[in-house]
Amino acid sequence: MLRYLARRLLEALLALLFTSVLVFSLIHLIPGDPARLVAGLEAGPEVVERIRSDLGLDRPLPIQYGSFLGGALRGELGTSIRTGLPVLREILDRFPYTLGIALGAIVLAVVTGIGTGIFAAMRHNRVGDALTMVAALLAVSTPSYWLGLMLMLLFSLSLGLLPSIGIASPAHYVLPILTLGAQSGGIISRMTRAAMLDVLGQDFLRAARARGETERSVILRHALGNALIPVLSIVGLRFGNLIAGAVLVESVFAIPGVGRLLVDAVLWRDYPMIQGTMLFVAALFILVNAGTDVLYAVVDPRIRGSK
Amino acid sequence: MRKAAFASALVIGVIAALALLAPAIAPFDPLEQHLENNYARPSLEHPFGTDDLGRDVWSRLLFGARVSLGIAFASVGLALVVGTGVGLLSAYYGGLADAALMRLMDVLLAFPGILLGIAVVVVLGNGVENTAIAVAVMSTPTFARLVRGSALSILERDHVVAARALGASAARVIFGQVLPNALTPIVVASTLQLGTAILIASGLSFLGLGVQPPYPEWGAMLSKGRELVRSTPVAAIAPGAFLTLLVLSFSLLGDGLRDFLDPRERARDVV
Repeated sequence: MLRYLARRLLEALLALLFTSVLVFSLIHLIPGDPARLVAGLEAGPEVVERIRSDLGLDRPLPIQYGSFLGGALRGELGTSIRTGLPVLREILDRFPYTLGIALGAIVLAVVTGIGTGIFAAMRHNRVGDALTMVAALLAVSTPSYWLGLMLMLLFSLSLGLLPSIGIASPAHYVLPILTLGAQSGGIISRMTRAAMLDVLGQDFLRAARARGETERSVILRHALGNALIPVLSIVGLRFGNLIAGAVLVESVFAIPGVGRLLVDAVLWRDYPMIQGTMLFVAALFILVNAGTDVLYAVVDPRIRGSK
Repeated sequence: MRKAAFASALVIGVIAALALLAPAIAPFDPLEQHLENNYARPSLEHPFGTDDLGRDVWSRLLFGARVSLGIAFASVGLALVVGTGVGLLSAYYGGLADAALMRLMDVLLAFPGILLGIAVVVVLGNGVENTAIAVAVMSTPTFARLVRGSALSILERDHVVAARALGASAARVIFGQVLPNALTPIVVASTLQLGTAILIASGLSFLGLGVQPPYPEWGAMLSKGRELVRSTPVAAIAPGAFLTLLVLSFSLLGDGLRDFLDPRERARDVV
């Protein structure tokens, strides 16, 4: 177990390191002078020169990368060109909104996904199964930003039940959570159904039935426990995706989260903010995935020995 | 499943035909503004109404299909060529080249798709071609990993081992033995990836980072949806409905092709 943990941790660190290289390279890959890009197109030559020396852009690339990485590890991600505020502070100010809708979405996706997945598996090849899987496939294929608009049209504009944009009250979270959680719910539902069908055909369930256990106990105690192990890995992976997917949903509902911060930074060419938000979201994604893998290994001993 | 795949192929065929014939069948110029007739409700003249600038939504949908499908095919084609090349080289030569290429692919896979797309747009700028490149960069690791996996198992087969033992060149083994045998998963993955490519490309355009106004693209059309949703809901509903239909069709067609081309996969069909 310790060996697996160490290997997975090393892989995550390597991915983080490569991510930092990628994010650092962004500004150097854009055609033109990086100092001019960071200073903004309006800045005078003296500001550009000051930024060049402040950021060390006149030093060799490896040294620049070293100080970028050192800064990132200390939480210093630079200053936003647009607002003049520290990048990390802006990200941390906005992150609670993104985390709120992502957490809500994953809870919704897990509850509905596992529930409908079990329902479909129990009614394998019957109408209930087919309808559930059509709904799941639709949820997977529908673009979140369109689903958001449709939910807004129905619940806010037509029925007047929920607020449409902004994030001023708990009611404002309902539509973004529904929008963000739908696709993951569909994926988890299909995964749960497949895993349940796989488990339902196995001998130990026949043995449990032969021992006279009730059908309820067979499903809940024996089948579900085993079926949920592969589902767990998808849940973690989805959570990472939800944080990134919030970029689109936050734009639909005008939520001032990290995703919206990134899109605005790109539109405003606020390069320190682009680098900071990308590094933050990607690091979170990698760490959540690594955490999921470790958890997966804890509950399923077969994983530790494999590979 | 087979019926669903046929229906999906039909839907994709119809949308592709509409896209190809757009200049001939679109009733209006998709860029032509008629401000005096903006936010018009659906009518015989404008089946899906008009947008805020008085442009005919149906004509924009038809031309938008050209852009959305064009980006999807171009990006998946590019990713297919590069990814397959990387996968084949990795599997055939192994060693350091394999390790380095696969770590690079892992890093790209470790980046959420939309974020990687945004990163490429930051570097290259927006527009149709750059959106296609952004989606291609995102899709390449999927093909590289898949092809490498298939190629590794094909390289172990007796007929390939025999060909190599007889002194067949690398090109002959790769193109004569490995690639033809790896085609099934590549075809299936390409079909499934087309749906993902459409979603990501239109997502970038929705955010204002992909295809730029005034050009019609379904995602870009939806970015106006919040303004249109109050006045002419059908103008906000239509592009998304077409997008969903197309993505769903590629997904069902991919699943159907997998069942048809490789029945063994049916047992392993998970998601």
